[in-house]
Amino acid sequence: MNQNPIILALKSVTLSLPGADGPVDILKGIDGEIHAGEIVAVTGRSGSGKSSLLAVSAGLEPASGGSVKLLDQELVGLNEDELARVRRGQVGIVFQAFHLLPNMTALENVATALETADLMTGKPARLAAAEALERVGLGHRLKHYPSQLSGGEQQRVAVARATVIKPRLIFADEPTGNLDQAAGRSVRDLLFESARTGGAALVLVTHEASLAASCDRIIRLEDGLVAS
Amino acid sequence: MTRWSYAVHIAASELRSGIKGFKLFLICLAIGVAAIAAAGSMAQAFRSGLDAEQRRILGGDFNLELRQREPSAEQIAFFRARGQISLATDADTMGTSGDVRRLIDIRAVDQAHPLQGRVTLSPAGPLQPLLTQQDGMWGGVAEQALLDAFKLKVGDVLELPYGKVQIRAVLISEPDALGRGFAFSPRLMISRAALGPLSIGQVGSLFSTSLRAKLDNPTASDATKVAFENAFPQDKRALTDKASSTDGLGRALDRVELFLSCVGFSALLAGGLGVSGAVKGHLQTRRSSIAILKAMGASGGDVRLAYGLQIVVLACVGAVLGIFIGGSAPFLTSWAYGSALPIPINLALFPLPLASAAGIGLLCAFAFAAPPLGAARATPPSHLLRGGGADEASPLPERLASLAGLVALGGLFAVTSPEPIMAVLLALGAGLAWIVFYGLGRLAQLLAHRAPKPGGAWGLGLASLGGPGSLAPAAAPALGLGLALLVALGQIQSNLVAQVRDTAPARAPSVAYTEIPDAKVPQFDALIKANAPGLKPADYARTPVLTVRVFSLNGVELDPEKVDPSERWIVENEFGATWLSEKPATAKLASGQWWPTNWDDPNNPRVSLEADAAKGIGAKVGDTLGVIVSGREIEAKIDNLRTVDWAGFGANFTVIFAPGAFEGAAFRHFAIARLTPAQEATMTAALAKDFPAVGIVRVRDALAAAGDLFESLAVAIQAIAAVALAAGVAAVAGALAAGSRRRLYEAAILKSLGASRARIIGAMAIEQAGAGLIAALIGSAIGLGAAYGIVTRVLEADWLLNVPLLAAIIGGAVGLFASAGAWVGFAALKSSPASVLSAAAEFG
Repeated sequence: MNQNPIILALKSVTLSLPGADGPVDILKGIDGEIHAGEIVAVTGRSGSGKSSLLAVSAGLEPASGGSVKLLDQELVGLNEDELARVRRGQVGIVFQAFHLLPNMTALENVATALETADLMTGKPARLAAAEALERVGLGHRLKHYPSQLSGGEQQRVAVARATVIKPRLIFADEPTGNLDQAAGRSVRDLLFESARTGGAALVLVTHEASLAASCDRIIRLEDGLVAS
Repeated sequence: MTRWSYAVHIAASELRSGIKGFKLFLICLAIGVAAIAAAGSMAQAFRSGLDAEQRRILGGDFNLELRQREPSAEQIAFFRARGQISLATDADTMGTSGDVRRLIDIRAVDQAHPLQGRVTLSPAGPLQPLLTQQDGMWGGVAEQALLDAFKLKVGDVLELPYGKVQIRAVLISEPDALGRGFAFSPRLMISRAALGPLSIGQVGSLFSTSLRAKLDNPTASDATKVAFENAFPQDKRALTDKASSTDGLGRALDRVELFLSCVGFSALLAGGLGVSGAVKGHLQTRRSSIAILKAMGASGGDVRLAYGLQIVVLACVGAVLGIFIGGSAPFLTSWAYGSALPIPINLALFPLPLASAAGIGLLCAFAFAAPPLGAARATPPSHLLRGGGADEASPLPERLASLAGLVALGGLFAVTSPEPIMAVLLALGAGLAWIVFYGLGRLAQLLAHRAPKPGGAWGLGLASLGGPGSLAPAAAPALGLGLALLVALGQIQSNLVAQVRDTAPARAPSVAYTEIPDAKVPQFDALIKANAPGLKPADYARTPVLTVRVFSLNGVELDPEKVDPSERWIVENEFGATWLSEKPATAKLASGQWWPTNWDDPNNPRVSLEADAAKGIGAKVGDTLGVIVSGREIEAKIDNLRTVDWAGFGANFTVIFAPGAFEGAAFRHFAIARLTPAQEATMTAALAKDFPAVGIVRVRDALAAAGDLFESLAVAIQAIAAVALAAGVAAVAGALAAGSRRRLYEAAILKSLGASRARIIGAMAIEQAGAGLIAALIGSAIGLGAAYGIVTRVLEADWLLNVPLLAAIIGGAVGLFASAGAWVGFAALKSSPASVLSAAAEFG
């Protein structure tokens, strides 16, 4: 039994999205908890609701019903700006498609996370961002734009951006899904190391069995419900 | 909470990556701002030019202009006591050289002329020595147009009815030429000392005398005016001071500025769609970035501020670009036309019109950018996971802000306009038209959606036209306003030209004869009958003419400011009046009775007044009208009010008296006739012998000159109207560019399904041509409606539809759009379907 405090608690969470033939039920009543410092994998087949669960948990998508308590804040009922404030400085997110800001260099992408979180601005932010990029092995790519980086490098920038704010919780949606085996392994190691050294919890959506196996715990979804 | 430094950082990063998507934004905004700034700057440059040159334009501090008489000795003494004076007489007379015989404009000046400025001659030299009598021959200086018309050169002699004048120099320019107005006949300047010997400007003939006065103490201008009005109340309207010398031109400038500003305003409204489209297109490409920022914790307010700042910066760039172009308009005009400009121009930068144009442009950018900015703000972070999807609807605050911006835009336009009420009406009209255009564009889209689709390219084109990304709702308001303006102006112009080229020559007289002596009227009538055998009574009319000025009504002096502006001229100007026993055949009585045909009572004058003029001064049957004739006031009872067919043939006078009213006054007769060109030629030759002083005005020539004038003006006016169209084209290009990704995607899918290149290009050309046709039809319909109303109601003329012009405008719009569609199709086919579809999949 994990004695660490609970930082994410889900109770009967549902999500319905509008479809061509009426609403489609994506999540049908999810319960679960994530403790501080815990590394959890969310697995399941395509369409099982993995990414939706991550979106609802991170406040990227409002839940249709139930309760989502993130960092002691109830997310259900909050508006866009209130959800953004909950995430600000406490939650880092890594996407499968990297989603770096295309008009900013690697350094600026990471520094922007610090500025968005109101943690630091200007030169201190750039110095901290450079350190974060050094840590992920991209000290030589600071002034490169996303289009000038390989997929693996872009995802490492995304990891640096998510972790530079020293978040309490990191969400990662298929972080190695768009990468080859070697790059994927490198990103996985970075994520695990960043989470462990920073004391952050990591929630990882993946369909890779090996990646899931290296986590502390696995939540398996099936058709919008927790199967195990 | 919004955070400025953070927003500035994001905005700067975005702007640094280029403004590719904002080029059309800048073009649309700059065109509208430039048009408004140019209108205001030009008007201000001319206004301040006029203000600085008032004394020169008037020829002194005061001008007393009297018709058919000289200033009295008391009036001359009045001004001589206060400074220098100069007298000049203007009259029309016939000039002859060889077989050329035509009307010329004589200006006889005294030795003090000009009091202000200088007369420029070629060869250069002083004026006065050239006007003296040398070897029994009076001298004169003539405009080049006169020398050309009579095939003369400097040193040759021009024959006048009762003498000869030697042309001693070419008259290049006069300092007070601006006050002369438009003249059909060329000018000959002679000495006033020659008037008597040459029998010009004699009692009873149509001439005017002007007394220019230059005060020793120019600051005493107001006091002098008051003193004159007290001393000579009947002639106070004949006196112009330098401050009011440019009033007429100032009013004309106001109207021109209003027209040009409206074109600019229409351009901005049309361009507003380009602004909106460019902002929307740009922000669509930034949806992922916005979602990323939000996923990191940025609020909607942060996003709005960051992207709003970019729009503010770019709007400022567009406005600066616009005011730079508009502000340089006076300099460019002066550079292009130089001394040929009819009005003095003051070359300077005028901050007020430039600031108001910039303000209007910024408000336009705000009003049209707010909704897409709102939609961007509402982008959810889940966009990163789901991608694609429809744009978010703009939240209510942004939509309300946009509405407030539009209201403020109209308000600022009105407040800074020379005629605010007119500007409010025009702004409301333009706004309403915009909404109507948009609504009709949507309707056309719906109809295309519901229409049965044939196979092939037509079906594909129609489906795109009726589909969600249709260009029709954007093209209709963007191009509609400009096209409506172009169609309306084109149709009004062709109607005006048709009036003076076709309708008027058929109904109006072909020739007018002036200065027919009363004593020789029977001989004149006989002469015309002899030279125009078979001339019907309906084709010939002759009446006595005297110039009059309406002065009072029921004993109370009329104030021009209280008279309807369209009829103010009858109080402000002197004009021709006649007296008749019988009602003219073409006139209809609106009220009252015509006097008995044998009426001839000098002690009981009666008058008939044209109905509109009567309405303008508030007169009715039974009132007493006071007129000034040769400096003498006569009061006459209004017996009836008439409607006059001004385009008809006959005695079309505003004021007609009963016989006897002008007992003892000296006068001449005026005649009009409808003659063949051959009859006119024999009559001209015959008059030279027995009636050398009778002036001949060829109405045919005058109408042709008016036709030429209308045509040249129309070209300039339509070129200006094209500015609104240019902004519309830029806006449509923006909409086209914004939809190019969708079209690229469509082309790739169609290609993957096996569609031929011809079918894909054809479908895109058909879609765009359809959008162009819809915009052109709606714009033309509204333009035609406006033109019909103006031609039939305001100009009171017969309506004539110029079909070729209409077809050219509609055909041009359709052709332009079809070409653009084909071009988009070609561009879309350049990429391989695989690359387009895989890129779309990555994006989605």
